[in-house]
Amino acid sequence: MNLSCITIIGPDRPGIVASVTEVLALTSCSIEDSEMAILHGHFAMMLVVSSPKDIYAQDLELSLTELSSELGLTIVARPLDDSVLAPASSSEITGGPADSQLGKEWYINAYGQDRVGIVHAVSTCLAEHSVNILNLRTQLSSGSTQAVYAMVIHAQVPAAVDESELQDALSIVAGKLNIQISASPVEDSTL
Amino acid sequence: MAIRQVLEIPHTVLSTPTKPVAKISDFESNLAQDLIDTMRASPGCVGLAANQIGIPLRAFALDVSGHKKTTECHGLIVLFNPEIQTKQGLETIREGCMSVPHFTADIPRAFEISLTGLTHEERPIEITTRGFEARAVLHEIDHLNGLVFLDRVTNPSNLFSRKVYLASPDR
Repeated sequence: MNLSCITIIGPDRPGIVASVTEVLALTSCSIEDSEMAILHGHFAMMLVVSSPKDIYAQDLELSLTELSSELGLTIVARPLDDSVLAPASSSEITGGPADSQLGKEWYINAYGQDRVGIVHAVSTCLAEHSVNILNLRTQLSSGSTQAVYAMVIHAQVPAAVDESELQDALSIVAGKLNIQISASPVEDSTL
Repeated sequence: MAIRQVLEIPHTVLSTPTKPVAKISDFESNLAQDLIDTMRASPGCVGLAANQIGIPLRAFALDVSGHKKTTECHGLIVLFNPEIQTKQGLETIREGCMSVPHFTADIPRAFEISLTGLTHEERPIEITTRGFEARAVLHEIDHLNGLVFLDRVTNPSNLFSRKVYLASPDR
């Protein structure tokens, strides 16, 4: 089995996912992880696929060439190193960091008047505290008065991080950029 | 009294916690009427907090009667110094806001709540409600605490821009 990452970008239209996955199914590829979004009207998708042992990333890219020309898409397939596993999986095998050391998941939400450098400032603050961003989404929208920028980050905050220190650091960033930032651990609701 | 302009983010009045009212005088009574008038004049609006119309006081107006998601309803509610007393259950629903016209988001909130506050006659009142009305109350009290629903998004995928998507081209 070979693992590949396929990235697809291009003008949005109905049927892109159906067309791409048709080619993958005909090539006996299995989609393991995928994410699709429309960014500023452009289709963007990433897929991690496993293919039979005699089919490699370059074969997948070749099989998608006709489709990319037809739909005006840029499609790139690259081999993926499957030895890179998520920390939770590796800990099961190798006795890596326990859950308690991994810390908590947090949501960090920021919004305000649009300006250059919001993502950079917030992500730099998080990186300085060894916070790992798991998912990030930004949206720029024009309101009736001015452009408003909104960002939602899902992140892993290590147990060693002082939570109030992280809150204070984010407040300083918010003050400097004149934006609102709220950050809180994920509330685990066991029902 | 008057239909007031509804402020939009990033206005600082919307991100600053409001102050409790000391007593309900003419100013507060007029505020209550302005909240009702502005809410009634805004299509689709079921609630309005005082700081949304630029007054940094703890007061809101709310009326979910007639809304398709309403299951429990107390009609028109105008409350000063509202405080949540109990919260139970959890439900996630797509929310929008007149002060955040550019986005919507799926927001988890308590399903059933009880709250206390003062009526416009300065009479203490306790209300227990659930479903959409409870959500609307929590949304308004968030405003009074300087928060909008963007502060409550709990997953990056749950934030949506109010955009017009491309129409299907002919294939």
